[in-house]
Amino acid sequence: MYQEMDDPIDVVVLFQGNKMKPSRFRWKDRVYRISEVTGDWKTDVGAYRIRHFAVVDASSNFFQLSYDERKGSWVISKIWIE
Amino acid sequence: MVDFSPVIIHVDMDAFFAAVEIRNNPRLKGLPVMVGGGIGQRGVVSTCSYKARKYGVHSGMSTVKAKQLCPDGVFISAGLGGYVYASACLQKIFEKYTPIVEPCSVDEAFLDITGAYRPYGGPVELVLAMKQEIAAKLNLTCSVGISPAKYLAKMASGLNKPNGLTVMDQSKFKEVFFPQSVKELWGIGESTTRTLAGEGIFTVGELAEARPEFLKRLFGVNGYGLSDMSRGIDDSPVLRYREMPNDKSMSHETTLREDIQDPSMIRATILWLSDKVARRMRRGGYVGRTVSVKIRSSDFKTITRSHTIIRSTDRCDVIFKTALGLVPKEYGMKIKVRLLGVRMSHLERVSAGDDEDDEAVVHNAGEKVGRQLELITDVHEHRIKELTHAVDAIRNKFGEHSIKLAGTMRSHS
Repeated sequence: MYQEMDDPIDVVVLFQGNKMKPSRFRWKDRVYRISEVTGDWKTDVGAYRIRHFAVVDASSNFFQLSYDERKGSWVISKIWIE
Repeated sequence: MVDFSPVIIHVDMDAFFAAVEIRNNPRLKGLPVMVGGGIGQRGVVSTCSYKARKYGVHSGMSTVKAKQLCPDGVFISAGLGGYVYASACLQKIFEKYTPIVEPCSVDEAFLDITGAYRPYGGPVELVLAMKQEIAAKLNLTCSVGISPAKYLAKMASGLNKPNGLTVMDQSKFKEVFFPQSVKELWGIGESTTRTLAGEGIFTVGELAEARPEFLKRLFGVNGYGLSDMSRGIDDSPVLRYREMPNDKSMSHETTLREDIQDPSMIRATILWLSDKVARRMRRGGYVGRTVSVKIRSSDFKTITRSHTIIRSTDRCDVIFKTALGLVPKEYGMKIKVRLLGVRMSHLERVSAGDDEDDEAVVHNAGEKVGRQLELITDVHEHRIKELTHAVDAIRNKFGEHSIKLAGTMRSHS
């Protein structure tokens, strides 16, 4: 099942062409290396935009990372718990 | 010799919402996945994976029933942002192949590829290239029907799901569908099926043999359409988005978190729904005249009530007052309410700047219609209009949830 959350994280991002691609992130003092970005999309909140990334780490754990363009900050917005 | 016959395709994404979820989270692969309204036990399944369909689950089924049939299934609240974005990406892919694209929903479209397939070698080759691009860019599959007519293309796309490709002309349509029940035809529901059965018409072939005049007596002018459908006849063109007729109605409905028997909560929920409908109309540039409410009681009995007002409106307070007046008093007093909906129809497109100008013109299906001048300047109305503008501006900048009507705070959705 999914657990919704709003935990701030630090993210290392590659800019490839005109695309953002998160490559690893630190959450609760642990660094997760992203093995695949499985999906990405954007949602508009008023005049601002939030970019969402569905990612999996090397152990196939799922995370949804969200970047708030207005605040310039990242959060984990969803995780999958077995 | 050049072949001028039209080539139309219908693209139908396979279990779209569920497929997007499974693509995003590979842990879901192979599991029965159901996507629906995020209201726990009381929602309905919007889409489910093919694995879930093996348990008998289908779109529109209540979550409770789906959980009974598939207790180990994965239930996911629909996250519309991801689906809408994937749909927009699809649209861009479609438009690379032909400029004539008619979106029918978030996961379906008709494409006229008559003038576009030659560089690929043929219609099948174009479709294969498109399917490959969709798989590579979005990691999703679709089923496609290729045909000389929209109706046949739609029927064909459903034949070999998932990831299918079916070419169907009229003779193949007859071969495949004539022995099947009339309910297999796109656009024929339970009521029409029952009426036809009452006349001894059960199969598509039997419907095709019925005289159009006989069907007209049964179904009015729609009878002619039924006759054409059963014979696979359809000469309607693929319409680009800008060529499509105006939206006929706009509505919002909600299944309440629990059945309610509290008039104040019904009032708050009707206000919340009216606000959503009015906001959507203003964003789309519409005004409307007919307000409808839909009420489903705890025993699943559904009623609808409508009222047509004199002046077209996009104002929440007008829609709300009209809608609330349509709710029979016993609902919320004696009868528990499960679902509420508000709908506006008889919509007209408002020209730009209409809000600032009482003499502005409204367009209805391409015709210009004058709006009656107000004889008395209504200060109250002017203030409401200004307030609405201000609220819209705040929502445009800070999001839909940034400001709420106080009266909606008790809404139970």
